[in-house]
Amino acid sequence: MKPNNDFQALLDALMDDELDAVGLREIENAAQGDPIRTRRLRLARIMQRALGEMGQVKTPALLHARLRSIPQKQRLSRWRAWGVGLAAGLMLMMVSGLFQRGPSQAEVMQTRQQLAVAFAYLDKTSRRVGVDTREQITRSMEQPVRVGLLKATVL
Amino acid sequence: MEQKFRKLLDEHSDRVYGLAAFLLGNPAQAQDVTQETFEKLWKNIADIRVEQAIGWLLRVTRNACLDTLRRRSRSLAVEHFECPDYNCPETTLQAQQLRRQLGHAVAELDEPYRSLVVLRDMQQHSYQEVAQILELSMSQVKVYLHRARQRLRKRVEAMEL
Repeated sequence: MKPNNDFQALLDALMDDELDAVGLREIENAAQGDPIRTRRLRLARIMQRALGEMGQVKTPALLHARLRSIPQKQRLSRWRAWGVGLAAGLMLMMVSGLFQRGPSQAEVMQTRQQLAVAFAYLDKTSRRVGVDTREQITRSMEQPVRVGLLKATVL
Repeated sequence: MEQKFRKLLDEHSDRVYGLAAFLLGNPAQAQDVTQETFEKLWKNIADIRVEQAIGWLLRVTRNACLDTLRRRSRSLAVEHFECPDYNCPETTLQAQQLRRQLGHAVAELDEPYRSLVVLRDMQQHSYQEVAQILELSMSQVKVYLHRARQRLRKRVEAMEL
């Protein structure tokens, strides 16, 4: 009689469907006269057949239909993402334009001209104020000096 | 691209769903994982070669299932194990009962034993394909599968058949 390890190896080969006619005869001979091995062999055959049948699982029809629609859904969601991204970008540009809009070249030129006029006016005004101030100070100091000189001359 | 996707879907969706159903023991979660897997396939469709697609799909499916299992209690999975619908002409009560009991026995196996039984004994992939999907060496696949079958046999021997 074959040792148990050899019998297990033959059972594995049976499960793998690798036994030819000689191998099948060998495993049957090894089980013959041994009720435990005979039962093991019978159960191994039942197990092999049942497992093979269990492998024939069918994808549920609804799931299969859902899987077939993946490309369209993914495309749609990509377009949707593009749309949302574009809208967000435009919003951002508008908002930043409202708060941080940079001046155009024409606006810069116009502002420079306005500033030049403003500075010229300031310059003219400050010169006029300077002259007025000098005249005012001269007049206000002239009087006491003249009175002082007159007093000194008379006395 | 869409044609390639549909071809791969029609050819392999049953195996992807079947692996997810047996690893998770929950048809609703298996559907979610299958959907997730095919969404990933569509995103990577340009880079995937048709002849390597099944290996890629089953590897992605298994990883997604393991992530799902990590998030929940394993005992809960076995307790509430639900067999998927089989595309099998034989529907005798005895055959149904045997498949249900075997389904529970497979669900009780640890990883990678469970994946090995599903991929090799249920879905009949070659040893080389199984090794690639599970990222194991050929000798590891043989040793682990031998152990997995021994455990399964013990469970089956305990059943009244």
